[in-house]
Amino acid sequence: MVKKLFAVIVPFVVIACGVWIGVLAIMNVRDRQQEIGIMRALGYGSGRITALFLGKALTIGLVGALAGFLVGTGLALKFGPPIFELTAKTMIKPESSLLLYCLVFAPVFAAISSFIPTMIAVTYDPAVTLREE
Amino acid sequence: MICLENVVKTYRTRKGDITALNDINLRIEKGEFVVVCGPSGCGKTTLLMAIAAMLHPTSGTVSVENQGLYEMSVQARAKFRAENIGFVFQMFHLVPYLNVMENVLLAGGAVDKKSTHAKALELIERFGLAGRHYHKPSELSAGEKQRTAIARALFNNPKIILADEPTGNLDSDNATSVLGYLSEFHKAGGTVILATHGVQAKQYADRMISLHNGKVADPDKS
Repeated sequence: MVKKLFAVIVPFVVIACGVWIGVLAIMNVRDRQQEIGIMRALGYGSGRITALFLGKALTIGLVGALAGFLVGTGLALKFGPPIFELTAKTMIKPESSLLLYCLVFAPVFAAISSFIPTMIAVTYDPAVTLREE
Repeated sequence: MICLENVVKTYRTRKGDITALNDINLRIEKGEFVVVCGPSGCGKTTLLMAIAAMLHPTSGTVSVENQGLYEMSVQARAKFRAENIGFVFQMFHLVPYLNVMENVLLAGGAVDKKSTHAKALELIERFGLAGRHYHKPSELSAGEKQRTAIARALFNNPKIILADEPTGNLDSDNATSVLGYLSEFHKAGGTVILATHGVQAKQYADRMISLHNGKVADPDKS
């Protein structure tokens, strides 16, 4: 029953997270539009700017995965048994394999979600950006 | 030598086309200090951006040392900018969350320079910013911000400095000192192209070019 419920919920959560990461990345690109213009004027190539934004997404994904695993595991241990009416608390244990999945998939997922905003960043016309006050 | 031949730049807007540069023909010799003057909106900034390999003209050619800038790939143009051009803007365009040292070092990142800290330190002290290394732009005066921007512009030993209204936000004393620094660069053999609608820069210029509605006002002198 619980497994079926999660099979339905998890894909929605994953899609929502992806969209949210993408929106945050677009906002980040907008905030840093002038900085990107400066970097372009200084001669930074699009590869360096792509690396900067995707690198940031990967780092945030990595930190988020670690924090998510620790907080999620902590909450599951504390609130899991009463919510799911388990008599034996030992049935809920930290899963190290889950940590590995988190550390691999979350950064990749964050990078994929940031890909389009990053492409927007590298195609910004610095001449236009730098004219804006 | 910088050479512009029949350069036209038209911006497409919802309200119609705006021709910022209208058939510009210009030669600027190596080591010249050229002041481009004219009222706001006459095409000065567009001209500088075109020379900086940052703004593809609608038609015409821009070349530096007989090398067509817009025949190069985007990456090659970025490399050209990093190695040959220093920019100074009216609005300074420093990265707000980086301190003075980091803003100056940012230029070095574009050319993968090693051991750049000493060079940045030397420039910071030369431009009277000693003791300000770790200050953010918000903690600097307008003059200090512009001197930081000049230090950044000179960091990669450019051959050309493009200055877009560099004294526009400065008081008279700071404006004089900024023009003095640009003049020093010129005396050391560098090419300076300075866009302004003021008159203070004229005394430093080898040559004045007047732009009006995207055209050189006196083409014989260009």
